[in-house]
Amino acid sequence: MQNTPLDPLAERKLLLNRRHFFGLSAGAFGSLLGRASLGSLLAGEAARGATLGQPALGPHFPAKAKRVIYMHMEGGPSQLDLFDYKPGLRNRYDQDLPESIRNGQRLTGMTSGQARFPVAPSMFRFSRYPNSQDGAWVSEAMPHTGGVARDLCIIRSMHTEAINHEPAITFFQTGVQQPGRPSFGSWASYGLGSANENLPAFVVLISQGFGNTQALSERFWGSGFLDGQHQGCKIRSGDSPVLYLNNPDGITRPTRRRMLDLVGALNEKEAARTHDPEVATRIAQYEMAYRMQMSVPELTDFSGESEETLAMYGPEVRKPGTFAANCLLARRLAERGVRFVQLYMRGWDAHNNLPKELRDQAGAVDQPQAALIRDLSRRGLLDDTIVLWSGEFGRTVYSQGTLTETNYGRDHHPRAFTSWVAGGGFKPGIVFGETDDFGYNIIRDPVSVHDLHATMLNQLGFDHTRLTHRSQGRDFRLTDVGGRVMHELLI
Amino acid sequence: MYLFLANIDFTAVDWPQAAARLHPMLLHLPIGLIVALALLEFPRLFRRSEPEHDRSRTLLVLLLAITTPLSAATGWLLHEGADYGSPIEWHERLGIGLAALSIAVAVAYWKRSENYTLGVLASFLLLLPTAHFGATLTHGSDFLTEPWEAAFSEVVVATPEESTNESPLLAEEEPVTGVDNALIPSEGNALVAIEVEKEELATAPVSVEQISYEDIAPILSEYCTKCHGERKRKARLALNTLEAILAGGEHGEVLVPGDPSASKLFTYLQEPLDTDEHMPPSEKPQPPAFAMEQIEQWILKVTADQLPTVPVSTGILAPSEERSTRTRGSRGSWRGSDDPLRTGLDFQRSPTFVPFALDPDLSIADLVTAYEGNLKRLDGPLSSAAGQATPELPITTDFFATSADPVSVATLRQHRVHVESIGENTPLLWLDFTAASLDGAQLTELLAPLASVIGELTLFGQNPNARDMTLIGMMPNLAHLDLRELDLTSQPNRSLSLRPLQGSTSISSLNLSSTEIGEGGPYSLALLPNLKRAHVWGSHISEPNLAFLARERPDLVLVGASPEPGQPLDVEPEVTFLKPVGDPMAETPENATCPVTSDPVDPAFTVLFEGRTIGFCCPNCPKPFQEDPQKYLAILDAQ
Repeated sequence: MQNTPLDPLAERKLLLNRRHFFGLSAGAFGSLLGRASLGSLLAGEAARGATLGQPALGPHFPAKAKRVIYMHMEGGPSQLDLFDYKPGLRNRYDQDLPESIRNGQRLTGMTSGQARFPVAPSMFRFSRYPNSQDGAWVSEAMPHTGGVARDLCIIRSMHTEAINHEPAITFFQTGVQQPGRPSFGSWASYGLGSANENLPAFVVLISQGFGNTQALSERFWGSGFLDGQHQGCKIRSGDSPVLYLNNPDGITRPTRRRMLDLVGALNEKEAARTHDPEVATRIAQYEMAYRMQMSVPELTDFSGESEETLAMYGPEVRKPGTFAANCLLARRLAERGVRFVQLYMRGWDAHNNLPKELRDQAGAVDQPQAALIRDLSRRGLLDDTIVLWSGEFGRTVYSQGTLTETNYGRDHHPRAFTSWVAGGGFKPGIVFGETDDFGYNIIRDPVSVHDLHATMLNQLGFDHTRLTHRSQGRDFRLTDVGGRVMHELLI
Repeated sequence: MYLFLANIDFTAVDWPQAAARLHPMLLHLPIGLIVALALLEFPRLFRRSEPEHDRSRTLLVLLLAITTPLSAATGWLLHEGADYGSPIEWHERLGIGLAALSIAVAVAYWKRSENYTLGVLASFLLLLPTAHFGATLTHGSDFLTEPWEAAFSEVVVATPEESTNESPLLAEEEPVTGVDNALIPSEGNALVAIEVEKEELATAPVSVEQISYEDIAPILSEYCTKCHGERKRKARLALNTLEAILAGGEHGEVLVPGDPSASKLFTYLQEPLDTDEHMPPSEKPQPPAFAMEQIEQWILKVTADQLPTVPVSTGILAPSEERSTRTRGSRGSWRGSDDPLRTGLDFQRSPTFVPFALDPDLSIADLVTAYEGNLKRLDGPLSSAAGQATPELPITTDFFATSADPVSVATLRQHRVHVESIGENTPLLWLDFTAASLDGAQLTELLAPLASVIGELTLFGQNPNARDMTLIGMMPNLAHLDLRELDLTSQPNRSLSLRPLQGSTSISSLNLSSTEIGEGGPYSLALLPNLKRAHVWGSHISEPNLAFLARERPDLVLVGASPEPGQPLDVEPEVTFLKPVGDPMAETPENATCPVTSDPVDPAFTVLFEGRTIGFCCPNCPKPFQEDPQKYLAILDAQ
């Protein structure tokens, strides 16, 4: 085995040169030194060939989770109509929200001019589903999700800083409201790299919703100051799942191969001359794209899935681009070693006509997301996959616009909302945190976005204060200057 | 500045060495002083006169008495802290002698003794050999003669006196200046000769297959061994023999077999020319590219078994004692470059050796038990299993390595196997074969060299045979084994035999989802003593067998089917709203004028407050009211 002659050119890629090495942040550098026994191994990481220009750092400590599936509910689903059960509000229909609850807290410009803030109790019926505690109350809009409550860690006490979509999504994705920082998935890619040399480490899947839709900027999955290879790769429905991946008409795969061989040889010359790791990265990216030409069609082909599996995700699963299809795709990505799958479901921004919009939205996500949990669970993948379901914020208890018994709207509400996590070492079957009688303020166990990030990074094997990257003279991290690992949420 | 000082941990300074390293600077003071005094007193050899005791002489003698012992002391400390080859012995003796003599000179001067002049001259004479040996230490013994070598070997010219005439002292102070080319008529020839030599190296490139130490030795001797050789060992590193290269220098090892990027022998050549790390130093001749390539190729190709043995880890392991002492000895040194295991001599072990957990606290009894278990597994049930012969393990199986062998890791990566460190403080690895393309390589051959450091193994979609499974079962530190959706088309009965795994004490979780296991599978599972969790969805375990497992292994969590959805425990009765009495919009406000502006009330803008319906003039007024209701209620009540 040791006598296997190695391709010298491939080995040349193993060079970890000095610039490359010191280009890492001090923290990362420290951690590299901390693992000197793997020094040579890391040199290998440096030129993993397939994806990495910068070395993947590898976990700080043994990880509980290997990957993340993050279902982002763009627009901010109403916690009061889905998970935060407040039957007491039914007796306060159309009463004004007491000032003692709102306490002068800021509102968006959409309702701050409203004459009154009438309480709008949920018109959805709730049921109590079995979990590890005394049950979880979930609304009739999500019966399938209620059915997997045994696997869910429902956090009713999430809070965020931002009150509008753009900054709030940016905050949830990158840990800062202002644009420019790397996305969570990019940090995961930076820290762990791809476990599958044929696919990117960070994949983004987008599903259109039925309600009021807001803009979804590409920068939400951008890599900020991290190397460009860590940015999310969007896989679209249709003939060309990854843009510009297919060979143009008239170019055959052998022709492409010959072209890559020639370009590769020239690039090898350049790499040998300059030892610039960026050249090695470029070669690797070309090769990865070439392999993706094969791996992506295989990935998006559901013909190997059993009828039973397809039925579990619901009828929409056969329609590419739907949330159901993307959930199944997420499972296929997860089992193939993709580190971070980001699903977006758009259309939760129900300022008006919430009952109808929420029913449509929940109808589209409920069965697929529950199926994803069950499918991962039976394949033994839920143990080491973190599934996160969250909007960027919640919605207000008072009605925006006219309140009637069958219709109301809700405005943005950052002070308290509900997210849930499944798998990856999070406690299954618990409901965590509590809000006041109006679901307006958190009265027990608040969890900030930074706390959630820190906890998830902990499960991925990282000390969130040490997963840093130096840019413009200082070390940046996903949790900025905050975050606490919430051990209460963990097994 | 204060902050800077405050940040220094003075207790951590190695003070003796800090002082010792001043030696090369200090020693020049006595040299200068002795030469100065010698020049001053020299005339008195010819013109007898009373010794003079002017102030400048007093100062010089005083300084001499201080600086010479100081130089000797720092030199002695320097020698204590490092190893400098043979010239040091004489240098040290003479130096100490010189220190003693200097003090004697000072005493003589103070007593106004006649012997003072003699002492000065004796010091001067003693200084010459002392300085010579000292300079030999730093510049090498052939420093003076080197420029002449070609001349003497090619053409016989110049008289020997020419070199000896030169004062060694001066030569050491100003080594390079004043070399007259005219004195070396054959220089041109010599250059040609060197060129030819290089040409031969260049035009006869050694093929990668054949390259050996003998091929790179001339390169090292041309460019490296003048400073890192037998006579001079800068940084305590010698590169003149293979053993010396392996021994490394004061900054650790310079050669990591198979890994040029970890071998300073290669990386220092690659550093930018203007940095301190770059070797050879920028002012010295630089090796041509092909020479660097040859070194790189040699490092790549050289494997541990071709290297000479290092005494610490020679020989096949005898029974458990040595193993246990070794694990204890190497505790905490997974990363250490001085780890004897890094020399890789473990690669030639017989496969029948007992795997031991890396836990250094494991008792000898545990090791023996595991060893016997292994023997049984190799010779016992397996050989009779389904008429298969005992699978042969490759001789390279290494159950003892305490760190990942980089060549094996690189090989895995070439096959696109994901190799990831499990954490910073463990040598264990996670290997994921999901994207692997084996291209005919055998799983066992790929895994064997890393057998002891695999903590987690994912074989999703792969096709392991009985031999691979036997090796996997013997991995001493494998905790998580993922055998999802294996390709079983080539297996007997299209099912996977778990028999080779039997007896593994390390496997704690096993994923068999969508992989059909054979009839005996559940029994094999029951025989994995530390198995805590197994995923068996789609692995075709019959009901009676599941019952058997549940009975035999109550501690084992079996995840067998897709979880059924939970049914509601309670369903809320019909949603009903308890509405406030009346519609606030329909209610007639109790007031006629707005409490905020005192304008007439518009009934469209009303607020229900504590059972009262309050009207406002416009949509903006309820806001100040909400902010301070009591104030406006008082206004209302006043109306």
